[in-house]
Amino acid sequence: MSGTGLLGDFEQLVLLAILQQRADGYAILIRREIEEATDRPVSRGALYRTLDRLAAKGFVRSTLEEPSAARGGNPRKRFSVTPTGIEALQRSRSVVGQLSRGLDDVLGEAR
Amino acid sequence: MNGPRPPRVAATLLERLIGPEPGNASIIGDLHEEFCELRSRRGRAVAHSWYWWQLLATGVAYARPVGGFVERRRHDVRFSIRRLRREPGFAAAVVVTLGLAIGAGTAIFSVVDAVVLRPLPFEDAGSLVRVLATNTEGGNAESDLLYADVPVFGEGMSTLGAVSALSTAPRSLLDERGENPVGVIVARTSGNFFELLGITPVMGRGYTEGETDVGDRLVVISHGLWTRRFGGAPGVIGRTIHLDSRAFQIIGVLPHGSSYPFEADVWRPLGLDELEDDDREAQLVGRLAADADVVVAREEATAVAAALASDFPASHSGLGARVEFLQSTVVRDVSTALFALLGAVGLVLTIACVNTATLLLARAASGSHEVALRTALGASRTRIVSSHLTESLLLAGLGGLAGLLLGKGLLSFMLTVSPDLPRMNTITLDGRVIAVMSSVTALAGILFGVGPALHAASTPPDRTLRDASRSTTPAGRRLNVQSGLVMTEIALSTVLAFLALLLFSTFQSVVAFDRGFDPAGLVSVIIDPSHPPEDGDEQRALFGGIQERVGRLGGVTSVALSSHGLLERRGFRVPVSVEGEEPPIPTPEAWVNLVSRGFFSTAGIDVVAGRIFSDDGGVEGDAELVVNERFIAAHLSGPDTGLGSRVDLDWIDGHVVGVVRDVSVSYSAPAVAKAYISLERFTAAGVALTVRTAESPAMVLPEIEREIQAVATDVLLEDVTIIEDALSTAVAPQRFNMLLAVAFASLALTLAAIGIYGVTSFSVATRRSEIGIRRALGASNGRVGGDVARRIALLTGAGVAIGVGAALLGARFLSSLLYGVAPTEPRIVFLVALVLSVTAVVAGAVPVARAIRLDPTDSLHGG
Repeated sequence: MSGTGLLGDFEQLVLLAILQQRADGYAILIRREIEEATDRPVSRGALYRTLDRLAAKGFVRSTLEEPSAARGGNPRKRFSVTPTGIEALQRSRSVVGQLSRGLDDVLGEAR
Repeated sequence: MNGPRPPRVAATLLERLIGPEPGNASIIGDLHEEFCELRSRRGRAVAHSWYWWQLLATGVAYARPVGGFVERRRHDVRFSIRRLRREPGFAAAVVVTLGLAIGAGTAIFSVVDAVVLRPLPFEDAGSLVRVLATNTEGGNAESDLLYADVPVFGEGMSTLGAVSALSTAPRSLLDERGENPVGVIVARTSGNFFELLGITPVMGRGYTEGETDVGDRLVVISHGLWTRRFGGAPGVIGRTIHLDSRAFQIIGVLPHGSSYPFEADVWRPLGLDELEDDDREAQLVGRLAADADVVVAREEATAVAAALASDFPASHSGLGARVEFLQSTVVRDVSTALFALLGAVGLVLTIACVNTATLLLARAASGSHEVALRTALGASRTRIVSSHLTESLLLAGLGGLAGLLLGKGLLSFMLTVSPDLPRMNTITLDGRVIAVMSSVTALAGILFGVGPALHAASTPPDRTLRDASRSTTPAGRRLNVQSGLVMTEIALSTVLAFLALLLFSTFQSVVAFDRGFDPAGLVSVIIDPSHPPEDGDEQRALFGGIQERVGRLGGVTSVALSSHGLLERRGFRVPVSVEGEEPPIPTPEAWVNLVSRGFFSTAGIDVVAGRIFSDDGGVEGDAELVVNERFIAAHLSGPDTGLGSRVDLDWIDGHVVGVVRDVSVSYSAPAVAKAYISLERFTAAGVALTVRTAESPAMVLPEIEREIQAVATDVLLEDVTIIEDALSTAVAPQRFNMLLAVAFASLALTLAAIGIYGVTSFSVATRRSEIGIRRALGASNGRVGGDVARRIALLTGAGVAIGVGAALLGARFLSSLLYGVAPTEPRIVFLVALVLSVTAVVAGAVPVARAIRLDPTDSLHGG
């Protein structure tokens, strides 16, 4: 399934955070990445629901790793962004870029 | 699985909420991983709290909707929170109302649970019983057993597996050096006592049967005494204490809150000589045998008692017996009062719920358009109801939380002012109380919420959307419901006011009870010399010297000596036989007190006939007896008996020279037949000193003690009592019941007043147009105001009538709490009606004034 339309704010943050993790796209690390960048706490429930939604749209895939004793015998899920997800990110970035054109004097230079 | 683990219950609930899909196990794993990291960084407590919080924050937030159920509830909660934040005044009113009621309920239930409901802290407590002796010739009043009777019952009752004798007595406890006396209650028991109850000491051991026979001087002490007297020191086993100058060795310490009788601090084994004592004061505690039926046990006890009465008519005539569970004997003196208070607080909570329902209904009037809109947009009736119920439960939850906090404070306060209760040291606000009050809170939320919720959902939306405030149809129906609720509130408040007035009257009667003596300025001290005087001269030197020195103190008007303290109901038990009268069977008994000549004037006991002892006190020759009115009625009521009769009291006989008033400390402990004999005739081992002072007894008391010590340094002073304080303590239960009942009634009346004000204001508001038209047509202030006032009067009158009827029906169950007042007394009914009428007048004054001041122009323009 592939999604159409723009990504929501939080969906963008989640996808970018997964990409930042490279091979270690684990939920705990994704959440910390977003919290560091936004300097605000992130609800775990909201994160997991967003990951589910992104997976349903085909923007994210996940693999279950082996259970471990350190996690109470529970497995760990590793997330990665699909090519469709990358396309969606690029689309959102492009739209933001278009709408931001000519607004440097108001918004300041992009960092 | 090694390593730290999250709280099991929270983990299980989390798994249930999140769902069993394999992919979701990773969420549980993430939380487990973070829990372990937090535990190593911040410790166990922080990690556990965090995990419990995740149950709500992550579990509920992520919960898989069960057909959308969780999602809808989340929505309802968010919607309710938003709505309540827009109306903080309304929310505060509801939370305060519920909080007060639930707080009171929490405090009272904590007491009732610990004292009455919770099983005794003994092994298989439900099978523990007491066999109580009764006097079948005295209306089955309870009497005591002989120690020697206990094994007879034990052997004669197959339904009892084991029995133990028990008696208690106040003693002075001193330390190893025989100093620092303190009053304690000592329980004397058979050797198998601790084994019978299944009590294992936390330190040391209990004594055994073998140690009883040998008569070893061993004691076991309570946990409370260990902490108070010995600072909880571990080395207490083996230490020596003195009980009334006899040395005992401590061999064990009982667990906290696990002792019987609860007021005892020291337990020692009964000696063989005591087991043969014919002094009637033994209790029999037993355990029912396995599969034994208590009904059969009762029959067996009656049969054993009848056999004893038949075999030993002189000492056991009229003996009966009954079997009661140990738990009910412990709490029977207080359970009626406590359950009455629990009932009262239940009424207060019901009133609070009714009040809240009224507020919700009134608020629904302003919110009905919103509901109609939601319905028109497709919300089902169920959805509307569940939305309102969620709000009610949220309000109930907030009220419950406030109530729990308030209840904790109320409980602490109550324990400091409450009279002594059995098992008092186990009263606490624990998980069980919280669980019960949480359930009550949830039930309250449903009770007060379901009515307004159904009401809101039942109004057709088209009618509501069309309806301007002029039309009264839906508002009128709402008004009838509200009026009904307020009438219910008034009825319930009437019941509480009735109870409060009855208990207030009882308290007044108890305080005004004629005790037969004048307690003002009286002080009593028991003087117990370590070396008692051996003859009359030594006695006169010692006790006479004390009497003289104390008598010379400034402020002291009179001093007297006696063998027993003024507050002691009995004395030396003696058989009575009257010269010239046929001795009845069983031999009648009376009580003897030895007193100095000035005793009656010092205590303020009036002489009703004859005189007191002559100057030499009848010391030589024929004894002079002064008896009380009860003695005359019991033993000298024949045509040829009375003043001048010769009476034989076993170790003394003499003739009656005077009759004095009966003395009784409390209405619940009537006077016994008593004979007073001059103290001078005998050599007493110890005496009670009764002193009357013109100044404050508390100021004079230390000086009295000093004067006594100046005469003899080795005397022990016990039961140093200011009589008025002791009498005040004796009525503490009635005072406490009264204060609580008045507090609850006041709270209920306040809530009822709010209800009357609310419904009357609403009535005036919805009838603005009608009132405006009537005023425009010339209706006077009197007509308009009178109309509103008549409505209030009808509501109040109906509520009071129902309430009085209910109170009269219920009052019969409270007869054991009442004294000097009958529930059906007209003045009580009149006072209740007066109180409620005043409440209604105060509550209705503002709405009536508002109706009178209504400007016809404004109201007709729909303002």
